[in-house]
Amino acid sequence: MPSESPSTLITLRDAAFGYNGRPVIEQVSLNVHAGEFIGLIGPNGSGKSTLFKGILKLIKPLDGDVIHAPEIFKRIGYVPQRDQLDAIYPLSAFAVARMGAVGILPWYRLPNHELAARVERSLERVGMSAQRDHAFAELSGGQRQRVLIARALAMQPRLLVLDEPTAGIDPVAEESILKLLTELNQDSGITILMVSHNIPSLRHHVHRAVLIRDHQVVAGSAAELLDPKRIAELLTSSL
Amino acid sequence: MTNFWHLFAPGFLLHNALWGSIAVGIFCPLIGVYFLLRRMVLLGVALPQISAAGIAFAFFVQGLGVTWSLHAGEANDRFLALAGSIVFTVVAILVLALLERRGEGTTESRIGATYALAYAGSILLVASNAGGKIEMLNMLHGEIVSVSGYDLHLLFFMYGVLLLFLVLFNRQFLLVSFDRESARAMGKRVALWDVLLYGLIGVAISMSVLIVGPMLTFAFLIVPPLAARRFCRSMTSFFLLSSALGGLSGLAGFYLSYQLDWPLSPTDILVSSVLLLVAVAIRKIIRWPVAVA
Repeated sequence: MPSESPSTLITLRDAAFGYNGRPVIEQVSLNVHAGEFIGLIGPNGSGKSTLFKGILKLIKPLDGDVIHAPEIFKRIGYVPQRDQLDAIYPLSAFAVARMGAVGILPWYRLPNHELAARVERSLERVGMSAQRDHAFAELSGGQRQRVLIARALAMQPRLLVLDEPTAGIDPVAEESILKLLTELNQDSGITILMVSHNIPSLRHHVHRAVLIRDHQVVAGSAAELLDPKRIAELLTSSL
Repeated sequence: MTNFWHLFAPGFLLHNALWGSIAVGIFCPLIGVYFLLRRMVLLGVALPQISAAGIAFAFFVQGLGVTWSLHAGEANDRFLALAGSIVFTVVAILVLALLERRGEGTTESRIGATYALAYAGSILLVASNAGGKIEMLNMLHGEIVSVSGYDLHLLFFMYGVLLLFLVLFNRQFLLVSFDRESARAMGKRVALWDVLLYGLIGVAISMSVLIVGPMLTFAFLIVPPLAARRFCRSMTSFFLLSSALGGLSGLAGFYLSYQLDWPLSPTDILVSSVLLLVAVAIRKIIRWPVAVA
């Protein structure tokens, strides 16, 4: 059972998540502490997305508890898989990034100049200022990913949650995104939780890894859990 | 050939029909944009027909002897038609959205079956109406030339209120349409915003069907946004150009219909379809960076 501390942002206690009453992943106990960079890994169909949705409270736990610290209320920057977003919307990079800032405003509050400036700063932070007026749907995969990170940053998040941000992009862009996330974690103190398939590149960036196997989670330090031998051992034993 | 400006002369006989046609042309594309972006075009076919079934049902109930006395005569009939239309449309859109959310069956099969039922139902309800009258058929098909001053003022008022809501909640509607999961992660009550948007769509369609009928309502919902989408780089320009093309279709369609003595609704549909073809052709010839899915 993980112990809570004042810096704990999210606590999962013996949580089970699934659909239509059937659990996909069970007995998850996990703490996400402020300032951590956590990688969530696991084979396809292992329940990564289900756990992800559970952590974000997008689905209710079938059992156990999911507790969010008050300071992350409306301060979780969620970065979905970019291919989930329909290209039919005529939106510029700026308009997409702006959604993060206006999304957390109450409906009766109008966006002001400060908000627009915050969006500009977010785009600048991810290196997308020059493309601010480009159509979002026409940007490369890596650029779209950066815009989505800018959108999350425009919310001034305490926690960034990313769903496979490097899937389907070239290795150079992938390394550049991971470098950006590391900077956000180290320089701005933003806690990061990301799902990824690419274990070798994850090993150099995250502090802690959470591996899903046999519908349960195994958590440990990145150095320990993402060691190639250990990973092979864990994944083989789950087959 | 009548001078074009004659249409705007004081005392023009079909003044109400002209402004009704333009108003529906301007307003319907504003909600049609959401149909297109949310990929619910099929729903745009079914809902106006459901709205027509609601009108038929209201008169069927009246034919059974249930009376309404809020207004006298024709105004009472209009109120009755509007009430039936709104109830049917809003309930149908909410039920269809709920089934969509639960993932029961396919969208196409649900909407196809609903459309067929609404179409057959409206005809059978008219046929079975003990107090059936020709005015009712006019309302069912949206006989725009018979639009009264009362109808027109009601239409302007309702469109004004709906427009206010659409502008006020535009940011929320766009966010929950574009990226539902992120909206939920931001703490938005996605289901609540969906219900509000669908409610506004339901009322707008009901008003429009009452004035121009189901077929023209569908055409104005879908065709102008389809043409506009090819040229727009922002949501604001998408809304404005869609609305402008719809209004232009309403105006040009009315003028042609008046000149050639053609029925108005098919002429409006023809004009808006020609505008769509022109838009497609222009985009083929001149290429500039606009994402078109």
